[in-house]
Amino acid sequence: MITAIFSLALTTGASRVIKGARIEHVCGDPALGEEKDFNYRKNIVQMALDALSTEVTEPTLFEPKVL
Amino acid sequence: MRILHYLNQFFAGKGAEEAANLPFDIIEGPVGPGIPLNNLLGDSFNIEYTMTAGDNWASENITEFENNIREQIKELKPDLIIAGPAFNAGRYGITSGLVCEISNSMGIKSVTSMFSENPGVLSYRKNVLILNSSEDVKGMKDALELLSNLSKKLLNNETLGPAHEEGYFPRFIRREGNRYASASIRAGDMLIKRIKEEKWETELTLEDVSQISPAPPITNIKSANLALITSGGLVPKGNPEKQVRANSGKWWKYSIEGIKTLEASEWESIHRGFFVGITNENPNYVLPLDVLRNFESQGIISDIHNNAISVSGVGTHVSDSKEIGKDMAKYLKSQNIDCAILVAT
Amino acid sequence: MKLEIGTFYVKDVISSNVTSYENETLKLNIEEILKEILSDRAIINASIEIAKPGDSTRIVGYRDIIEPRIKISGKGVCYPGVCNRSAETVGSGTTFRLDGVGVVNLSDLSPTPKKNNSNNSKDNNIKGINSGFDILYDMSGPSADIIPYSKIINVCLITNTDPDLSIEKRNWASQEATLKLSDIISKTVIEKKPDEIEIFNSPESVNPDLPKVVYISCHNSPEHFSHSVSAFGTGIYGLTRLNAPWLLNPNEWFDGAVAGGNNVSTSWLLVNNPVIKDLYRRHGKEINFVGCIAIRTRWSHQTEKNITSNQAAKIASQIGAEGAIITWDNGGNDFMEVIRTVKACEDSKIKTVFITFEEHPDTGSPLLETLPEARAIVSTGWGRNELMPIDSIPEYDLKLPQVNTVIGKKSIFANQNALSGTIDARSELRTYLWNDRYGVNKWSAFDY
Repeated sequence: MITAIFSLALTTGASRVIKGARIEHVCGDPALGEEKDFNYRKNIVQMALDALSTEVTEPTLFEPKVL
Repeated sequence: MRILHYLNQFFAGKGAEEAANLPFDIIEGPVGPGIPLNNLLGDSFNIEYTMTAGDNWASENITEFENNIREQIKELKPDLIIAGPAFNAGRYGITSGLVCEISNSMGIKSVTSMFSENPGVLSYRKNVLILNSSEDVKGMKDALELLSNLSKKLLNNETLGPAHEEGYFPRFIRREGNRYASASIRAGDMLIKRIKEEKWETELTLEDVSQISPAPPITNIKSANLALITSGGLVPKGNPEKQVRANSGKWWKYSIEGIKTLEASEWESIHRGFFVGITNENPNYVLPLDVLRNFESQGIISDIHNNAISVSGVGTHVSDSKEIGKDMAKYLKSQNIDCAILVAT
Repeated sequence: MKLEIGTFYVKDVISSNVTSYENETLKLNIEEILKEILSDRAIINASIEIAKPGDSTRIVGYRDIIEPRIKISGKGVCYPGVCNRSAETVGSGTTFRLDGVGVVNLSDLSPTPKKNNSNNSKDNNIKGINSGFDILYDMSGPSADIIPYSKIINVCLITNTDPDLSIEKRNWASQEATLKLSDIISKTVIEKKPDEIEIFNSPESVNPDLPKVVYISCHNSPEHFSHSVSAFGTGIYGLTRLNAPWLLNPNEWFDGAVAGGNNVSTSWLLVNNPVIKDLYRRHGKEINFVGCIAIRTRWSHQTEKNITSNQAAKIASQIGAEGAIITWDNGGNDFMEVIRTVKACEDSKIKTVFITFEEHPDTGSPLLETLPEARAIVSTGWGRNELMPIDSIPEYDLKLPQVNTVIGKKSIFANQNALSGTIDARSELRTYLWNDRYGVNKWSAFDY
């Protein structure tokens, strides 16, 4: 799960939680400009794919890089 | 009115651990603590029979035990079944709870009593009336009094009061009603009791959220079938199917076959729980299709499911959410999906 | 800070040729008042209607309700900061109030459907009030037992605002007009002797053994939806934006420092906040009521939410609080910073009591997020967060009977979720939209 309000995701038991940017733009940030926004989105999605490939035993938070 | 009482071997006077293997038996009239209980119940109510079984025997021969109880209930047609008090005796608490559960399932009212840490409470409190008792027999007198009071109410068909008033463990049934004073005053009262470390009670007990065991990891993400899900209320622009903006009770799927990115001219969010202006300028924020297609072209992943799944995650009841989730999972499994990315707003 | 409050009882409000207060009767020269209101060119049309407790009248689409209060001495003005009013700190000196009357802001902006039901920021200052749902109350009947506004005389100011202005400007224009009316009314008692006087002094030095208690209130900010730092909504000294926790003296509350429109936190309810009144009742006897902390809610990021909660607990710690009562005023993800404030206080060894509604048991979870630190909860029953579609009948809810008169919006949406369809606002309705956020009523829920 990718979300900006990750604490609730963790306390309700989502196993793999990726930190999103903000509620209004979860997968990216328009303030970064088109190119860097796309890169940030790539970091988030890559982290999601990595998380899917990672063994976890409890709700775990993954933090992607912004830039 | 005919009452059946259930006791374990010890309280039925048959002996302690050495008698725990005794099988089911039924005796006429009250026995052991059933005698003072019967007196408390007064003349109109009578413990006509006492059922008993050894704690070990009952635990090890559950089916036979259950059948015995059912048979007696069918034959004797009691108006009420009382089990225990079991205090902190674990096996006894569980069998007492079981007796009451069977009784209830056959339409006969029942009540039991045990200590809060008895495993019988955890197992049966949702469906069975369990009065709170002391840890050991020192509290027998109070336990019997509470049992007798509640029994009379049940037999007289009186409405039971809230759990904390009547002394039974809350059964996670909640009903509205007025309390003794306004909420602002009650808050002050509760706070002062907490500060002074006097006995206090919350008006709402939160149940622990059941933990989900994590799915095993994907071994080869390159060849996995990946589905995309969002709770951001994504719909084709103009909302052609007129999806409801909140608490719709269902989930939607929209084809993303051949689509390389979510264009603002083609998609929008109808979620009413957050400011959607930014997402509507670039719907990829709520379902990152542009990046996923990019990854697809680079060989990082190979299989994105043709349908994007969407819900508007606002105001949806937890119980409905569970159903929606199950249904979604069923669909995804039918499509041989291995994993999913869910974007939540 | 010491504040003396003089109360004047109002038992009747009538039209007259002189605006005055006499023998518990408020007399209004409506024509003169309307001329004054219309002198602001943002207001292109205005009218006043009066609804009394017991009337078969429904008030639909209220933006705010204001209790007429005026400062006789001491710095500042009541309802400071908003609409260019004085920014001086209030809460000391003498304030007069009129009990039994409320001035209702019924502007033409009462939830208006947005273009294409979109959430674009241009249209979004409306969202500061509620998600477009219709809000209403009856002056008699079953809802009158629950919603406190039906127990006071409602002096309703219905305004139309200049459509060329932005929504935000229009919202504030109608509020300014309502404040103007409130000021006109409160001025009628300036020279008079109050029926009752109360003195509030906090935090005066009381018995040092008394435990220190703080009140923490959580206020939704309209900033999230509107993306404006000056959108219409509940304001603290008129500021409605998302900002760091404030430390306020309870007397500031009595002078209207926390005020403004929200579907539950009307100015009237805020200046009469029963939690504050009850804590003051115990002040010097059972507790030392040392202060109030106000946080804003509906931040967009977890970090921001956590900062708000942590800082609120820190302020409470620094002023020596041993206990805190916590209230909130919205729904949805606002809950996260609220429940985390409860947790942060408990983690700082401040005992909390949290006043909240709970979700209906059928929905599966009484609170949005279950944190074990929320161990002391006062429940105000189940949340009524939306007017249900007319044909949906929750068993646990009231039937609002048909009424003779509607003041305000004349029709409401038949489908509140889709904001579509219209029905006559006088019709029989199911349920009401109001929650007891500040603990006015005895209504609660029990475990069975």
